[in-house]
Amino acid sequence: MIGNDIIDLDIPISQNWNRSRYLNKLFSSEEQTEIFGSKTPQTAMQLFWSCKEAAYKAHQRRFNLKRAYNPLQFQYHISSVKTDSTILGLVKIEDHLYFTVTTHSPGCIHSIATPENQQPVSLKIFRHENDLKAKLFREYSLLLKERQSNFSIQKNEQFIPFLFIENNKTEQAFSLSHHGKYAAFAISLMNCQMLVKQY
Amino acid sequence: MTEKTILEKIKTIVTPYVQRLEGLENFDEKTDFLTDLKINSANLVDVILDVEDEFDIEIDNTSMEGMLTAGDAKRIILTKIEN
Repeated sequence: MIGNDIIDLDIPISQNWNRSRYLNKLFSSEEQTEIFGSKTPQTAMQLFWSCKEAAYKAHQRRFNLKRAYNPLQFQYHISSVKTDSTILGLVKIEDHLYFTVTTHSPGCIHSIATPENQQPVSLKIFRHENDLKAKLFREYSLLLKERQSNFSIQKNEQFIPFLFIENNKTEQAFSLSHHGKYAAFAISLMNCQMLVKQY
Repeated sequence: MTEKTILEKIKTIVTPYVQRLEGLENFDEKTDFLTDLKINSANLVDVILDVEDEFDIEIDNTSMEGMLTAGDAKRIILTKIEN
């Protein structure tokens, strides 16, 4: 299972971002303490948000949940900063944990969340890419040895996207994200290790 | 306040955050903030704060969870106004 989220840092964030009315609807008091304890609270807030959003997507797909706007149920904290640009963290929702890997580059923040630590993933980030699905199909075409034109995506009743191969639904776990000029996909490679055609 | 007025006010509130303007053309109860209007999830909270200010109500976390369409917002506003 997997979720990902990208944030274009050139898009101005909410004018409300440092008001308590805003923060209290999105972040717990522990999270707010961590955010405002950092050197750059505004960036920290975006980092926290991207991890919570990535974990939300992984969790929703994993349990086929109805959509809900419930950011306070997802609690994030940083577990380690590997380098200045890679941050590892954990998101807790009820009894479930998601491991997050965030990369922070000058133009964007990108996070992936998976239920297992260091789960193998294929991740691609694009700038000014209008056809993210085509890029995803291209990647799956290489992974599953299928023709690119046989792929399609359909959303289920919970608006979760699924990969189809010639009208057959697969259980492939992937996640798409768009924001501003950025687009990204993340594919869980665990599902790809099964034999080709076994979907 | 009529339900129609409430919907019109919701439309005005969400407009600055809409990323898919075609979604506003047939704005009604079924209009989905995320799929039809492509409002960024980080901006949904701004919509909620603006709704609180406009209608002078407080939207608790449980109500916020289910505020994904214009109809959801209208129902929540009606309940809060009545109380």
